Amino acid sequence: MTVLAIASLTSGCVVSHKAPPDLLPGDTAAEDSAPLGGEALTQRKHEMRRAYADMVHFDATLATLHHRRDKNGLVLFSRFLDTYLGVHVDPLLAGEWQSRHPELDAIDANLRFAKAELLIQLRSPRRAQAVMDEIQRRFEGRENMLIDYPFGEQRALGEGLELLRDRKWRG
Amino acid sequence: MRTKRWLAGAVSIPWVWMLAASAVAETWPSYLDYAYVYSSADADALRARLDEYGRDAGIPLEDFTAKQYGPGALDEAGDDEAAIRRAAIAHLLIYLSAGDPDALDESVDTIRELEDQLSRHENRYWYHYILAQRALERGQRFDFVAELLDLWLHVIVPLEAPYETLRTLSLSESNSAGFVSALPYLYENMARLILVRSQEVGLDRDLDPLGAIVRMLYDGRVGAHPDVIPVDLSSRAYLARIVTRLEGPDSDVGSLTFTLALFEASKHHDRARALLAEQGFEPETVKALRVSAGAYETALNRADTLQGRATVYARVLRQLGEVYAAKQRLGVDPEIETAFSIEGAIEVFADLADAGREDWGALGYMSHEDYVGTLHRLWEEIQEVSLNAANYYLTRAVEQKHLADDHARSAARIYARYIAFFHRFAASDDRALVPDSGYFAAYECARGYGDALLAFATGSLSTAEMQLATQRYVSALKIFPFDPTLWSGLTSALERQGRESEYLELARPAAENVARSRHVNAWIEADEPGAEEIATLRRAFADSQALVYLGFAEAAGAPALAEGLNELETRRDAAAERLVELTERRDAIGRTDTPPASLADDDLPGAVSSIPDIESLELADLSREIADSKRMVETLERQVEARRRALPLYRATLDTENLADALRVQRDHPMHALLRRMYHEQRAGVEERGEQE
Repeated sequence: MTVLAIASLTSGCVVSHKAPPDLLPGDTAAEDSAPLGGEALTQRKHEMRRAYADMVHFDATLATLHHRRDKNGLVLFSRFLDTYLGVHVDPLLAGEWQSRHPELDAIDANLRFAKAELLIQLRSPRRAQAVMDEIQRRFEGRENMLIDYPFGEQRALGEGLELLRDRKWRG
Repeated sequence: MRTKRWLAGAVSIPWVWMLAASAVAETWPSYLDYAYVYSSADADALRARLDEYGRDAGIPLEDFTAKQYGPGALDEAGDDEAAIRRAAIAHLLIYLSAGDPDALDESVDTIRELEDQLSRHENRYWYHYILAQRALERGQRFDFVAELLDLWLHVIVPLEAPYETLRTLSLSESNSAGFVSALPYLYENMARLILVRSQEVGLDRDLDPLGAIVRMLYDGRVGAHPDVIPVDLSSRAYLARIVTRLEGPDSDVGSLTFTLALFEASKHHDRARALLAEQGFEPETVKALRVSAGAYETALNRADTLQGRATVYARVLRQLGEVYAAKQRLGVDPEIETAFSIEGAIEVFADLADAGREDWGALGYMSHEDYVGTLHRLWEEIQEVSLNAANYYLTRAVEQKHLADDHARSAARIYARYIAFFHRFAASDDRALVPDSGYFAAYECARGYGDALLAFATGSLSTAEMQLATQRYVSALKIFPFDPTLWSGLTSALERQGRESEYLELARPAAENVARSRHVNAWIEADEPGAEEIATLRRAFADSQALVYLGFAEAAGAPALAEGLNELETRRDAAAERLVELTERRDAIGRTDTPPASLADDDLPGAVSSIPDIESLELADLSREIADSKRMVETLERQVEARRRALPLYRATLDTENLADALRVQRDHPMHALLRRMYHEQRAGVEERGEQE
């Protein structure tokens, strides 16, 4: 799918011909239904890590906007962040297999915690709760797994969930 | 793509020039397709580049645009999106190189024709990029932010995964990679638009949502593709400076708006400083100083937190200090308006200290060390500008005799303000907020206060003023007793009031503080910097005679004091010889136990009066002379011993290196830490004695 996306991107960009719309990529990243391997797995890991790093930056920016009570900035950035999560992060987290994959499960869990945290900051407790429920379901029995939450700290997944629940209404 | 590859080796020229020599067989459409490579160049460079392309293409861009994309021409092209996109880019380039807002409007109108075809990333990139430029031109800051966030979301993010894949396969520079391969340039263009262009047009507020993009650009994006854009030709270094400030303690809880405003102010400050050094207070310098002060004021207005305000004050005080130092050095006094004052900085410091006592983390600091570091920096700027300003007034007092009294009192007020500021924090639980160098500055101000009134002021001083000035000298001695000249300063002050006799009473506590200090002892034993000088001075402080020398002897009179010792020894020797001679004479008479005349028999009650013989009278005289001589010899011996002991101690203090100068020029000198410990050791001792009483 990624290769198809590349092909579609490259096919009509240099010349002036209009590319067939069905070959152009959509706004969502491709989701693989089956476990990836080899280069594709490496690529996915890279994408997830980059998304996580970007979410750390979003968290810092949100903190600034909240601290400065910048309402206009919050509106603009929240809209951006909401779309980012839906268009880019959700497809990255869709695969059921990656939460069990030994090379991806940690970054998968970190991304979910990051998403829940950002949703809390976006004042979307219901959506944050949905992410928490998903974490609970996917990582049942692995509550001792080490995750990076809050940003910059490490703790057991179970503790992280407790912390998220505690923060959900406090924001 | 061949064009870019051909130019990849031309690293010695800016990347925006990379198309320079490649245009041999190219025409405007090709140049326009690759405009993302060079469109971020500054106006002059872009103009030069477009002129060169025009010569290569045989037609200037303006003419080509009018002919190819002018009224009616695009209609003929129909819905050819490439032609529309190129037309929009051409108009944008004309705007960017010539500043023609009509061209920008043309560009916007043209690119909007592609609103139904934004699924192509190339179209979408130019769409948002052009609209962002228009938002900048019109000062529409929210639109500017929104366009860039959209650009990131809908162009950058979707291109990143394919770019990485192509890069992994070494296909990112392939001819067929298309717009995907533009990604490193898009990063660069976004960085320049946010950091440089926005500031050039004066967009100085509400940019904070773009902080996320700036951080992401820095995080493995700009400068991460040296095969495409050499790192030193990218904006990586500039970006690094911004992000470092954004995330460091000199931030305003991570506000990009504030960071950019402060960065701009710093650039103006640097320019003003350079002009000041090169030209002095020429009109251009004064103008630059005013611009700089205005830029700092803008930064202060953008600061929403105490963290940001403290950062601005620390920097602007440095400029104030530089101005005072230059005024003093150059002997001129131009009027330079500024909204900042030392009082304002002290207020910010106090507010930050108060707020930090509750929760320093809530102020935006990542660590307590960062919080304290900010306060220390602000403190040091307050102390430096205070000292510079006071020095300036003292210099004026010397130069303008008729205004000497006013200037001296101005200096004294500045010193007094710092002393009050120092005592407010150093003598409280907030003493950790005072930097080590703040203690020496307190000595300088205490001494400066005394000097200003007693040495520079020309008017008459009230008794209270004289006493206060004297008390300042005593305070200065207690904070920094290692300046030998200060002890004589104290005696001079006392002499003016006829209180010389109080010298030892006032000076001894300061001397004893040193002699008894555990910290001073540890410092000497560990052979820390200045230990030798301190040990010499401590020996002198432990000796009352040496202490008197320190207070009353003129440094230049040390040789005379040595001569005085020789004379004293001569007198003692003469007295000793006389004693021997007298003793021998008495022995020759043969009676050594003649009672004193007052105890003669006829003085006894009831004794029969008798007339003494001549020999008895002579013996009585001799005995009295011997007794007087003995007393004189003993007195002279004591004086010689005292001088022999104290004079070398005193003379040794004159040979010590000037520790005050070393501390004055080196604010991170290790001895500043010793002064801090000594100050609090003294205070603890005073408090302990108070409790016991």
